[in-house]
Amino acid sequence: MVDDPDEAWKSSLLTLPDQVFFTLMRNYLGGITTPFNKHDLIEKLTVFMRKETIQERIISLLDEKDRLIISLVCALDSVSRENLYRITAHRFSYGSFLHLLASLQERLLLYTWGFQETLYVRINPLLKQILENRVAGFPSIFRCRTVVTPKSRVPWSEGFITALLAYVHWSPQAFESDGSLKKRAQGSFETVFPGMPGKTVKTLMEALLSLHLVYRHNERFHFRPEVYQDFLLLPEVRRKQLFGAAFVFPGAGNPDEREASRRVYHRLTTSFPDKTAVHPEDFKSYLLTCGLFEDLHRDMEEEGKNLFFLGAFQKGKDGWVSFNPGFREWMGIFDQEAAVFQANFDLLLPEHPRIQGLAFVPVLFHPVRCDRAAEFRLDQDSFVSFLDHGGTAEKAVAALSELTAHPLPPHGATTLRLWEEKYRSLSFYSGRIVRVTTDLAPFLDHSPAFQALVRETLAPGLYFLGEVSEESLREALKAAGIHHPPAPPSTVTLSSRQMPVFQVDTSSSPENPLFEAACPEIVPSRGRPPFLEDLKHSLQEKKLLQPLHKEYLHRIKRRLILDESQLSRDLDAPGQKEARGLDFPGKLRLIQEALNRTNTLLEIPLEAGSEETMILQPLTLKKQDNEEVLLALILPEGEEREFPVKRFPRIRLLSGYLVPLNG
Amino acid sequence: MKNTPLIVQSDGSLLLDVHAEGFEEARADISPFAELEKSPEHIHTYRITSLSLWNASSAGITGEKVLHTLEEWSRYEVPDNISFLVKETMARFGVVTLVPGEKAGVFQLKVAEAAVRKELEHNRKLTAYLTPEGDGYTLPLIHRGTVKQLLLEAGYPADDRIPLTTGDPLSFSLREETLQGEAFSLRDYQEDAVRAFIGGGRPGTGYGVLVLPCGAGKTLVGMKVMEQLSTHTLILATNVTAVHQWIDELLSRTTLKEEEIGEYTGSKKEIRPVTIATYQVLTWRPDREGDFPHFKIFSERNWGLIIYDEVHLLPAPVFRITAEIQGIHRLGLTATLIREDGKEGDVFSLVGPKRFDVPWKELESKGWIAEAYCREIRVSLPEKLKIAYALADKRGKFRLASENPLKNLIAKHIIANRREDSILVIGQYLDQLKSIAQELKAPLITGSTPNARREEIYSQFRRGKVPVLVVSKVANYSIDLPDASVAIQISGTFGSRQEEAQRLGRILRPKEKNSWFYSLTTRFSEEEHYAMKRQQFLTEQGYKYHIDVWEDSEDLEEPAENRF
Repeated sequence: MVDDPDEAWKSSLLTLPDQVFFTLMRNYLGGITTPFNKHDLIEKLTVFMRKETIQERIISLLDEKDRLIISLVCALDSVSRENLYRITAHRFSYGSFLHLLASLQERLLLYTWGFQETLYVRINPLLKQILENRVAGFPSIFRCRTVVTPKSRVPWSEGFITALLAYVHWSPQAFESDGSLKKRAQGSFETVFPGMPGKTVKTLMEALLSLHLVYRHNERFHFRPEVYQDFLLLPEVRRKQLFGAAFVFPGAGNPDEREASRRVYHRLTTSFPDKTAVHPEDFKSYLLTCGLFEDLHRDMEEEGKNLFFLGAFQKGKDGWVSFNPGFREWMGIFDQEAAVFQANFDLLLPEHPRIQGLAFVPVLFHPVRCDRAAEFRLDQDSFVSFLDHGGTAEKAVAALSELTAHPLPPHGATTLRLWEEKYRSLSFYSGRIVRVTTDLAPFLDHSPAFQALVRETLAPGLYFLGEVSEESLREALKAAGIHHPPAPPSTVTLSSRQMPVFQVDTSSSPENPLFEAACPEIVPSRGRPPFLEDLKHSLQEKKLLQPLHKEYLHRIKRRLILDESQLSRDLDAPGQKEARGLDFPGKLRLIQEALNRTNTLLEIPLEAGSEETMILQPLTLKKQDNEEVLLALILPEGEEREFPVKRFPRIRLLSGYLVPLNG
Repeated sequence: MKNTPLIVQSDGSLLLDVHAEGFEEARADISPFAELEKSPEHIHTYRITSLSLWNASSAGITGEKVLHTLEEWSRYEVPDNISFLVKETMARFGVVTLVPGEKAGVFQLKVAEAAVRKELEHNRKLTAYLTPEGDGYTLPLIHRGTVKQLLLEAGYPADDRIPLTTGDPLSFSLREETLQGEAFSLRDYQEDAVRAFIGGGRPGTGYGVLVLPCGAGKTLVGMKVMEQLSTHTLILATNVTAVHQWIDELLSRTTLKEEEIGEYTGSKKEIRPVTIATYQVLTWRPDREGDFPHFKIFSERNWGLIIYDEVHLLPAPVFRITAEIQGIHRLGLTATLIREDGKEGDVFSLVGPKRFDVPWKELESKGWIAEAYCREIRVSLPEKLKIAYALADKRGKFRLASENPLKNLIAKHIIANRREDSILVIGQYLDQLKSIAQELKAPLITGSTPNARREEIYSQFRRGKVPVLVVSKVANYSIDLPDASVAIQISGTFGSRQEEAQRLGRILRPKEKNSWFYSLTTRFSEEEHYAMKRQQFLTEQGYKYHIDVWEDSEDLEEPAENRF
């Protein structure tokens, strides 16, 4: 793709079919004298368009639909025509959309550019600045109104994540294999997480899975404290972004998608203006503009829903959507408060707890209740589980000392140490037991190689070895003079899991939001601009022939005439675009014309007399049973169908007034 | 987020940060409508329940006031569902009102909303006690308590506007000093407790439970209430010793005369303007199926006030009669409102709601109760008992661990180090207690000790003539031993939190020195497991334990200086 926007625009003009190119030039430059040079004409057009008065007039003629499309294209930079339609599909039919696009093209506000079989829509660089400053903006795209949005609480806090991980750790049986909550577990879940809708659970679990904070094995979920420890090393804002992104885009944890998810999520949560509510249908468009379709190819319905769950957006009673100011606070960094550990072994985590020591909490404590503050309880069961995971009393005491502000209760540390002592009074080992007959025992007893493997001699001729490989055992036996021993049974070794490491991101500046969060002051034009009356007056004075006069009036109506200099006697009237009724030859001619030109489209009414239309991409015209039959694709769906031509009540060549729709 | 001390959770629990600014004011503001659940050292937990809100309503507190208080003190936004709960719950109070009927002994139940009326019509348990009349119902006096309880269960607490009966008058006053010449007056929290109970005499007040830590002077509070109401009073106590203690206190601190105070126990049956009876005598009956003959005491006089001492021990049969005497002022006194049978709710609905509660540590910090240090000493089981322990069943294991003979040696070491203290040794098992009493050469008090002998020993203990006293669980409650500063618990009733708290209470009376509570447990045993449960109540009151492990206890020698 051509990188320089000016060059790209000029190239797009140069690649227009000659007839179209010259029609356009004549419209804007008046008569064209020979010899002519396309580059020169483009330069003249450039000079014309750079004039301040011309630019002002162009702006003054924009209506709401124009502003919508222009704002979108400005915001999205290079957007494909298909994606542009997707965003606006709830506002326009496909045909109307194409007409609108063509109108903007022939008014030189937009141009299209083909690249790798995709047609992209771009802003005319000559008008970019004035359009961005005066036209493009959030309210131009999305139906919105000013609201005072009450701040609502975002339920996702560090304490919440800790409590959730603790719940997964202690109640893995509560979850189905897909992460949803089992029916019988709903009561206990609600006890710990009052007010948390059960339907969020599956999404939450997907988020935890994608961040590798839990893993699934044999259809059960398991908490990964070592990963949580890494997670906690990230800066707070990055943790929130990752969690939020993972919650909204469950694939966000995958390394390939993580950054894209985070970027899209960041845009979603920083680009919405304050004190603004958006029409619910337009909110879906907003999601698309944030890059969901480009970067992540997600299901828009699902992601929209999750954003509400996340607490970033909220719906008013009438369904209009606004951004939750509380969410910006949530994204901000707060002073971290100390937790409280009490004599009765209750732990209380504030909303923004200290990170130090937090990683141990899900394993060391049972979650009791997670709401504004997260409450946990430590008992012997939970402590034993902590020891099972490689913890020690000293680690627990150290973690609690880091996490809490007050000294630990005196019996707290002692109790943990005594529990550990009791725990370690019983040990399990895995390994091998070797038994030999008494005549062979002396060989093993006096073999240094073998004795090096022996953990404990249980009885004469009975040895307990630790986990030793088959090979080293054979070698040791060989060294002891025992050749060709029987094959020892194989031991299963646990494979170590590859632990993902969260890259500790030191960058601090977020990406620029898609739109400025504050809505620019945009003043749409009102009423007919005065220069149009001057143009009409000038046209009157020229005393042109009726057809020409009529043609210019039509062009003025289509906003193609911006200056008196464009009123020339040298004008090409565009060809016939429509055939109706009994004009069978006319219909055939239009179909042929469309077939001859690449990507030219036809528009037919759905039924006779109906305003609703269907857009067709003609493929072939053939004779079938003495009847002309058109084989065409119905757009945008792409369904192929045959149409008897004589049955068309009306057929229109779908193009702009001056430019075809294929750009 | 505000820098205020209260966190309101969605399930109705309120977390109060004692270190935050405004803690005391916040606590005072939320106490009228929230129950104190636990008060460890940093964060106290309260809870809003339907019952607590209805009790607040009956005391004249509105939903708006409750919400305003929560919003004022809450660190975060008050959850929407709590706002809804408060409004909706408190709106239910007053839908059903109980008012005097036209005839004596008959009341009217008025139902303000037709929908509620319809709902109650289908409540067969309730309508069995009601007679339809007009838009409401009538009911006899005797069923007042039962009907109120059923209405509570149905979710429509009755606004009881029937004034409590005053009973026969009895005028007396508290002295300014005891008969022994010791000056006394009510402390501020005692005055608050009395005020909370009396409640200005409005309908909906004058009945309820006051929860005060052991040693906080509940008896004095009871006497002050009696003085305020100036009416014939029936006092129910846990045992004969407690009865005698009440009598002594009444005579010492009030202007009541001996002939105005009666003892109603196994050995005496005096019914006088102030009568003190035991729960035991009330619930006695000649056979399992028969009536309780001593229930007649409730109707013997025109009582204006009934005091239930240690109300958490209120026996189940007494609940029934309590339901029938709803027209009288009812005062429950306790330090630990924990019932192992879970009938706390019945206490609240039949005696009355909790009107006053104060964390133990708060009184300790103000010097009203002694500062207590708790220590748990863990001792090993002797080798020779390990096999027997391994072979025993669960109960057997607990007993073997509890009666660990090494505990005697430990107790002696503790006593040897506490030469200046007066010490109680408390246990569960008589054989163990006899053994240790013998080794310590200390007197033993059990259930079979005659009352006269008991009183004599207590008297000697108070006077310092007996430095160590060994007691069974009869001494758990209501012993007034002002100078006991050390308690050594050598065995207890499984995981009874209440017992642990009551035993600590034996040494909490204010004194010039700190108090020490030792609990001896056997390591790696069933007893150790129960010990943590027992300690739960105390840790929830903010008490901290130190745990000492006495290694090689079997090698311990007898203490060098044996004061015995």
